[in-house]
Amino acid sequence: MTPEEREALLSGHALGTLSEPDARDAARLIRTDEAAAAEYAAYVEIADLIALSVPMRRADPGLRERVIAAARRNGLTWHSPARWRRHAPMAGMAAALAIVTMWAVGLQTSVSTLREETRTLAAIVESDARRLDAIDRSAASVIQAESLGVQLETALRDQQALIAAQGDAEAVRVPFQPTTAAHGATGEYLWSDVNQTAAVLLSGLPPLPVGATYHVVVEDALGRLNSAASFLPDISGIAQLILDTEAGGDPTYVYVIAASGSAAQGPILLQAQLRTAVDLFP
Amino acid sequence: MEAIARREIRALEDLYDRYSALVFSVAFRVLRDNQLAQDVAQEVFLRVWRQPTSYDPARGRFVSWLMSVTRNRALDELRKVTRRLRSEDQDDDPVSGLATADRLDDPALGAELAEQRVAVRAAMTRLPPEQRRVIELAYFGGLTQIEIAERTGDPLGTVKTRIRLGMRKLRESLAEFVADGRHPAAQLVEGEAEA
Repeated sequence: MTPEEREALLSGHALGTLSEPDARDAARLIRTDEAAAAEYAAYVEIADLIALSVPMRRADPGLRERVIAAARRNGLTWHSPARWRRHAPMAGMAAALAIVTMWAVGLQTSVSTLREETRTLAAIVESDARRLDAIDRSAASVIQAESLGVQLETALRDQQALIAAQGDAEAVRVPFQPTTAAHGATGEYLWSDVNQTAAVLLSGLPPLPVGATYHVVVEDALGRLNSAASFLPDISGIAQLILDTEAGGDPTYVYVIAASGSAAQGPILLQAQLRTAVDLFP
Repeated sequence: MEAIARREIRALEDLYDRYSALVFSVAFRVLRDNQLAQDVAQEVFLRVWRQPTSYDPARGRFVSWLMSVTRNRALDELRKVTRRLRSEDQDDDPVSGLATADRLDDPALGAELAEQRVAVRAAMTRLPPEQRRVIELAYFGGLTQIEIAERTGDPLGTVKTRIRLGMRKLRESLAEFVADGRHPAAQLVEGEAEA
């Protein structure tokens, strides 16, 4: 590869303009070459600055009011499974009754497992709470301590939401189907109607190169894709996370993808079809 | 962002006041539609409100992240619209954005960001028009190099060369904003993350 080709690959990748094969080459180069990774990072910063070149326009003054009002409500607008059920065709209901029955039996038998997982998560929450209490504000700077506190509080909220969702015996669980890119990764999607919480529980996720992240992407009935979460698993390849239910209404599929940049584009590792199972859950 | 994580609505108001014009302007530049751009801007701010931890200071400056989120969301919307309206040709004159004087010099952005805007616009203006065009088609139009070549009628190799040279010149022109030896995260401590 000539220096020009290398520069074209890295700058084009930062701009997000490469074709799929070129993007794969660029990702490989960044993964294996530290100098290339540094050069790519510099180009990403340049690409990010391009947005600042736009002529400034003022949005409708009413937009501010709408944003703040929506934030105050902080309501969830993701369509609940119950709402999807209202629109489900009756023929489909009958056709999948057997599947649902089998699934319900499986769910029942896994309640003890759920309780065990809940106890484990509760231990994690307690541990987090202890860490929160243990922050030595006199030793750390105030900013550092507050930042850590916010992160822990957020983690605590997510853990509590996960516990609640996992403790919901009527929560809908849909196993992910692995693709050829999964490399042993498995997991399931979880929807707790009573808690209005969507989560994914993943394990066996392969490690990613520096700069890459996993994304959970939801697809709605119109085929629209939205990122519901981005994350890095722990060292064991495990991730349990609450999804952004604002990311897509009426979801029909959920994907777990590995993306080389901030954009949610990359190979699919896991996928789950929600609509059939969730629509028909009694 | 920390105040937003504490669910302080005032922090969101401050953030909106500071960045709404920029967010809306980027969305509008991508979508060329007032209503769609407002929808995107609303989604972006609500995402910040609901998922403040999705911004990781260690991975860069807040404004860069915000622009990236806005651009990606606007491009998603653009692709949906394009799928519905295949005949749309949203940008035959991609340099018009720079040719147009700012309709708004937003003091809320703050001096540092305003200075960066001036520098970026100047750097973009200094690019040869054909290099600027391909970069804008890629960034604001979300087009691949192959799609740009199809749209402009230029050979793919020419498109690649123009993007490479254009990005190199931008990197040289804007070096002071990205190569000051400090980690990008350090730059936001003074102000950007305090909203």
